[in-house]
Amino acid sequence: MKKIDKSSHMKRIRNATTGVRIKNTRIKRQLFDINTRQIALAIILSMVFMISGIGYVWSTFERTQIGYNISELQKEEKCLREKNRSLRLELAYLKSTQNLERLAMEKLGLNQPSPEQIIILP
Amino acid sequence: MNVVDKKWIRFRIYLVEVLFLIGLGIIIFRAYQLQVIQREHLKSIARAGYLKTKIIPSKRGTIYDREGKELALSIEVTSVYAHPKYIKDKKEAAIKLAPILGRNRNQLMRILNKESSFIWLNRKISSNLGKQVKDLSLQGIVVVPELRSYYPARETGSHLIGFVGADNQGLEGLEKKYDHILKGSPYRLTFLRDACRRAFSVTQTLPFNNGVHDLVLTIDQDLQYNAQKALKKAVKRSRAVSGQCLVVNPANGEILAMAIVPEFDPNNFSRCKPSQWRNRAITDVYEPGSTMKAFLLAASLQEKVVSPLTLFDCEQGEFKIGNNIIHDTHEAGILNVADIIKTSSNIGAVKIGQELGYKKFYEYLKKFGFGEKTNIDLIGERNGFLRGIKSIKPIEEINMYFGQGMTITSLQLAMAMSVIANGGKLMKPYVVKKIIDENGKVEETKPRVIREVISRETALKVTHILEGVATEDGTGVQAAIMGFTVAGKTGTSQKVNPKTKRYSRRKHIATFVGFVPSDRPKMVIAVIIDEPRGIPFGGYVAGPVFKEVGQWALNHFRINPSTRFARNVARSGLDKQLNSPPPPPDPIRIKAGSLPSLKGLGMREVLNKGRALGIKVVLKGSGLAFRQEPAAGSALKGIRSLKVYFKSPT
Repeated sequence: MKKIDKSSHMKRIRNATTGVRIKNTRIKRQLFDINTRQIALAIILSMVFMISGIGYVWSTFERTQIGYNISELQKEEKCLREKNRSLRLELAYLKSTQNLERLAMEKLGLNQPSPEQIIILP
Repeated sequence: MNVVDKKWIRFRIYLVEVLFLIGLGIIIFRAYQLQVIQREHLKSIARAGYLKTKIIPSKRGTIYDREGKELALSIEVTSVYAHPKYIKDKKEAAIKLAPILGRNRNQLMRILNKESSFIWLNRKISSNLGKQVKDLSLQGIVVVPELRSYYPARETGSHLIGFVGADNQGLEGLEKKYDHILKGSPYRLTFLRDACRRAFSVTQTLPFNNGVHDLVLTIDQDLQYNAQKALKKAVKRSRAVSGQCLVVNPANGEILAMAIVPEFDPNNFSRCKPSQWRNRAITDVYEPGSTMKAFLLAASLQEKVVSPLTLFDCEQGEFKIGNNIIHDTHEAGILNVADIIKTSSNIGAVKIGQELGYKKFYEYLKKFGFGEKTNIDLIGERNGFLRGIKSIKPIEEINMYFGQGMTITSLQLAMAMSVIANGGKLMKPYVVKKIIDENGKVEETKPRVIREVISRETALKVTHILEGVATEDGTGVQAAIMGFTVAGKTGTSQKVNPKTKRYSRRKHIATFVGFVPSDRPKMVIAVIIDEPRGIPFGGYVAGPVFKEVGQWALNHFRINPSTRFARNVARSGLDKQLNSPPPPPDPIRIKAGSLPSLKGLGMREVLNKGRALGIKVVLKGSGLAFRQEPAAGSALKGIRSLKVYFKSPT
């Protein structure tokens, strides 16, 4: 059974009594009239919004992660620099004249040359 | 709707408006209170929540020798301290900490049981141990980074470099003098942290401008080490109190080595006495003795009052002036100026001095840099003392000509000898060659001529005369270096006994100052031995140090020998040396079956030889051997005892 449209029925009665035919149904229909193009646009816009939202969250997350990484690496850098310094110190100890002299004399059996043993090549 | 109703409605609207306004006012007031009045306080609370600031101590600058070898290096270490009040289980903490800190458990327990709020447990331990303590994460036990300076060359150059105290402040030597540029300001590092207190983003990078500078010295570590070794040997052999050996480049005033004995290890400086820390080469003054004759000679030649061949009567070793008698160790008759210097005659020196006059001599001594600081870049330098022209008495004048009644530092002596070596210019000595900042900008010290003292011709004449000192019949024969000509002057001065205020008969200072090679001087070496026992003569005690250091340095700096003699020796021995390893050193070379010559040897060596030969040796006199009975070369068979006569070399 066809449902009687209440508003159009009332309109008809009003038109019959006043004799003036007012046609405003088209305007009303236009309010809800969304074409496919508009729908597509809306979808695209909402997707852009969603993607940018996800992107923002992701980038913030990444930033935090990189922040952690940076501080880890900086810590490592500091450690390595310290290690380098202590190795430099150890090298300096090993290369010190008294140590080299001791090793040359004890391990290799070398001695200070006497003046006549030094031969200067022209 | 009637009028009353309308009014009531309007009233209610006003009421709501007013209530809203009051609410708004309260909000604005509170916002002002929070945002403006309490702003800083609240901000700091918030910051404390997410920001953390770490104070990183800035390392001290490194000190290098001229070849770029590290002499002082600061390293980050850790220190552990405790807040005993916050430690929950003290026993557990002590048990866990004891093995790491290497301490007794009960002793640690006693420390932790103390009532104080802060106690250092271990200071300046290695970072590894610090990390182990940190990993225990005990409440009330805190690990903090600190700095410690290490000196890898240990005793080498320690008097010059100095050391650093517990709170990173320079206490001695260059570490003190240059503390303001070696020590940087500690920097703060601020970073964000999350709820788990992990750092996640460092907001600042490490600053590269902390005001820390590195120093490059003029010292050569190897030469310094060998100078110290030779000096230590000589001080030990002569059982002296202390010794100094300075090696200076006369051309520019660079100090190549500054050896002081007794030594100390700056890594453990607190174990040594403060007297061992003193840089005696600049802080100690003494009477120079005969070495001043070299400068008397230079002044007299420059003023043209004498020539190298002018003759003076040396009065057979005894010269009376007023009530005083001046003696010579070497009796002589008429000598020329060159021989007076060579044999170091006091009487001759007095006569040259009288020709020159004290006023001129005083002026020249001032010009040579005596009596005033050299302004070397080290701390604690002393002036020395010269008696002024007006206040001097005649006898003091006489004494000044052979170096008595005035005091000098070893550095002044070395710099004055540099004047003769470099052709007449007094240079300003320095030990810091370069200062390098964090950006690598280098500030190099430029050599500075203080004044022209004597002319080049005079310097050459003096050099030529001083060459005679280190020859067979000079007083400094022990300083001669094979293959090179040495110019120098010996000195033996008596020390003043502080109690009697008179010259002590037993306490002497033995000096040798000279340069090598004398024809193109590369280095001036000054050796001073304080209170040697036995033979006190400068040539005998300090000469060998000059020789050893000079020989080593000439080889180290690749300076070719200048005399033909050395070349011939090298050539004749060339094949043998290339084909066979050097023979083991033979202390006594004896022609089989005959008595060796002992001439020129010291008492100890003579005794050693006698023991080696199985002959009883009788010693006569003191100094160096000059005659023996029976004579050298006689058959060993049948000789039971040997008589050896000694006399002093100067």
